[in-house]
Amino acid sequence: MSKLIESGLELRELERLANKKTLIHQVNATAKLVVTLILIGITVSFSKYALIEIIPLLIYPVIIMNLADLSTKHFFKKILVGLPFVLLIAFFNLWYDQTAWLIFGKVSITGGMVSFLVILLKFILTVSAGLLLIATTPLTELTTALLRLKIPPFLITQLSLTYRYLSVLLEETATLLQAYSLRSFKKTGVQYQVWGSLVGQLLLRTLARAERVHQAMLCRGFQGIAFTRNKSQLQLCDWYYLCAWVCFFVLVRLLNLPEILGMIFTGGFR
Amino acid sequence: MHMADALISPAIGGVFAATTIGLAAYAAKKVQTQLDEKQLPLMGVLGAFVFAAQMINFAIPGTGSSGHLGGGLLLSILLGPAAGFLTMAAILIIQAFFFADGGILALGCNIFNLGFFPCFIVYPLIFRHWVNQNSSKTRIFLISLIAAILGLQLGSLGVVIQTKLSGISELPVGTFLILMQSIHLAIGVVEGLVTASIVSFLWQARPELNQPVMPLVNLSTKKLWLSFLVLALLVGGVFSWFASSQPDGLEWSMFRTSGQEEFTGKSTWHQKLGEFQEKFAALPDYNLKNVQPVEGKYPSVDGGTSFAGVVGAGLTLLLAGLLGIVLKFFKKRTAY
Amino acid sequence: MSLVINNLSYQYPNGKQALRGISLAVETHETIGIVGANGAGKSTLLLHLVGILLASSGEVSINGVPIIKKNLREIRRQVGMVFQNPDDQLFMSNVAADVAFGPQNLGITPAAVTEIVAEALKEVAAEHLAERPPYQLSGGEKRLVSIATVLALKPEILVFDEPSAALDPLARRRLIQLLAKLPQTKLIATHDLDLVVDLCERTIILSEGQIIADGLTLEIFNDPELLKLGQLEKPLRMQGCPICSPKIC
Repeated sequence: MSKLIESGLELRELERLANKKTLIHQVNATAKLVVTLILIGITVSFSKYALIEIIPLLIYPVIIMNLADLSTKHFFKKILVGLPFVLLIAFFNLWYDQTAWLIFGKVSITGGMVSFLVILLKFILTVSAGLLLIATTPLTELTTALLRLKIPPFLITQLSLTYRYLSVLLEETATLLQAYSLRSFKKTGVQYQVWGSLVGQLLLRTLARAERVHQAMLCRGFQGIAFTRNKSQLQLCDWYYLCAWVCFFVLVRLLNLPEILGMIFTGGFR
Repeated sequence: MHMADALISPAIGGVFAATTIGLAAYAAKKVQTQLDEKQLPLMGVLGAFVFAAQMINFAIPGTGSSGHLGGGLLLSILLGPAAGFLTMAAILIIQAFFFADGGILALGCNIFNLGFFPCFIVYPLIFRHWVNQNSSKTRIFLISLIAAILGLQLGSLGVVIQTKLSGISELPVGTFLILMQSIHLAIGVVEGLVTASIVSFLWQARPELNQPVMPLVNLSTKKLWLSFLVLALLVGGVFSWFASSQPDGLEWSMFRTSGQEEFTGKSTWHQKLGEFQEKFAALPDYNLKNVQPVEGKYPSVDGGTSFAGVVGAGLTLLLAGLLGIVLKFFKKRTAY
Repeated sequence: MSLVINNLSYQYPNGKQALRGISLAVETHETIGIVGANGAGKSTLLLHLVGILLASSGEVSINGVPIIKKNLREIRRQVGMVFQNPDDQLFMSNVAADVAFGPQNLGITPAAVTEIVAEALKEVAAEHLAERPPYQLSGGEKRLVSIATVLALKPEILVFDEPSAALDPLARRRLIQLLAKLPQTKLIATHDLDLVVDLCERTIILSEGQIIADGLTLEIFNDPELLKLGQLEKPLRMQGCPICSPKIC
């Protein structure tokens, strides 16, 4: 049941990273959020065989990871979480798409191989884009960014409340499961006879907690209207950051940069 | 099953994101007009609860394996459909951003699959319809089971449709459907049983909770079908537009080859694969894409371009790597 | 008189009679200890002081303003409550946001809120914690910050539910020193009788929803009959030396 504890630790680790003070951390959250979303959109918009064209986008994670002082190893471990499902789907491409795409002497590279790699690349790019945003931006700043992007305050408040009680509930659940496993002597999870009462008890406590949180809110003047924090303005350098990346992404999308580079190198222009 | 960004097209991601934003705005309005300010902390704390509860492994009797809770159905039972939907959305957003589980562009798809179906379809049409204050325990179990299975079947159907419409996976629809629906049948059974046992326990311990926390959002069935229709048209429209504006996968792939090679069975790699395929009988409708390219039908591309592309790709990768090393070097320099 | 309770009774929806005919008058700047066994009605009584529970019969008023539904906004400004579990009270994503929550709800301008937050954190000597998320705080720090969230509303009356629960000895001592310094009228519900001896001149014993004693702290704690009736024990400090006095069990 260490999954619970691990998740809690992971949250804390991300929070620790987000509170570093590097160049990237100082960029306004709204700018970073917009860059992230555009990167994801551009990445996904590449066709399924655009293996070569998509490669320059890798420069984004390389630069951010270095400037934000993040460990690559740690990151790759995190990226692996969602991989199995994507791999499963991508593997079938190897299978079903066997049209030759490129032939080197005897070895033919099939369309499936290419689209398989493209899926993996897209996966790495999109997932690392999200993680890099979270690892360089504290949640409070992110919520103000969401506010600026016109997300209703009610939803933002609900989201941050969920996040806030995540660590509390993870800890509570972990303790409960520890107590359970000490007396159950079984390894395969919670037995079905106690499903209802074990989770039900936790749920009852959670409901009681919600009640107390609500009381604490009431005591401080809460009237059902969600609250907001003051927004921070985008500085000139934030705009530069935003524009530079967006220009780069658009350039990569419109031109096949590696091919141009390769043509120059192999003299393809002659 | 959380959809990843890598598996969807921008059009599908966009359509479902728009739909989900619409649904969320509608749900937020509903929740706020209930004027029950208790709802907000309850949603927050219950969202965290479901998140934690998802990590509890439930041993499945007689199988030696274990399953876990999804939460959409449970949340709508506890909070009502609108608040349940928003809470599920918050959980999925946190999972996507903080745990890299499910894509960010794919959030619309995931919230739709795991939030919309259980909260707005299955809960009002199945659960609330058949279960009330006086329902027996057996009935609660039975209906929860049906509701959870149905919800997950719809959800995984959503995954299949979204993936296929995005045109990135080559998996034939039939195989994909059989695979996904059968996996989710099993997941649905666990979800249903877990939800039922929690609900039965809760209603026994706190009978006063056995009523909708919030009066059912007055979803008229007409409205529901109408919005379904609109969505279907939207997806269909976008898909057909996409299909017509972009050549399908095969053509794309042929665009890259020089057009002279006959590909089937020529390479050893391919032969081995073919042998392996014959042994692999689990996918009966497996169908080798055996289309012979007709000479001249596909535009043949100068092989030199592709070669330059490959070289360039290698160079770009090298460059990116170098960039990383240089940055690292300078960082160390400045640190001392 | 800053707080007057007149013949207050309360019955929970499930039928449990939690308070029976409580009457109490508290002077401005008084510090009162509320003690009693588990389930005696301490928490229920506190919840009436901030209008989370409303009297089934009888009345409660703060500075002459009765606690009824339409006065709640005014009441909650004047009475600040510190909850037993800081995790229930610290619901925002970081300390500063949490302390700002109350003032923001009052519609104070952002600039003024920032000032109030700094002031409130300074009062509990926790300025350095401002940007921390709540789960990174120790138990003692959480307690201090909880108090700051309440002080930010500038209340005249402070109500504490088990303030010293789950604190280590040093954190507990710091808390006591902080509470001694706060000038507001204070009501402290606790099982920590030594804390009551330190802070409260006057003590109330609750038993089964009734006040069975109301008087000077030292007098009450020196009355064995009364303590027994309230299912209490003499504060440790007032018991004899552990070596020469006989063991109780």
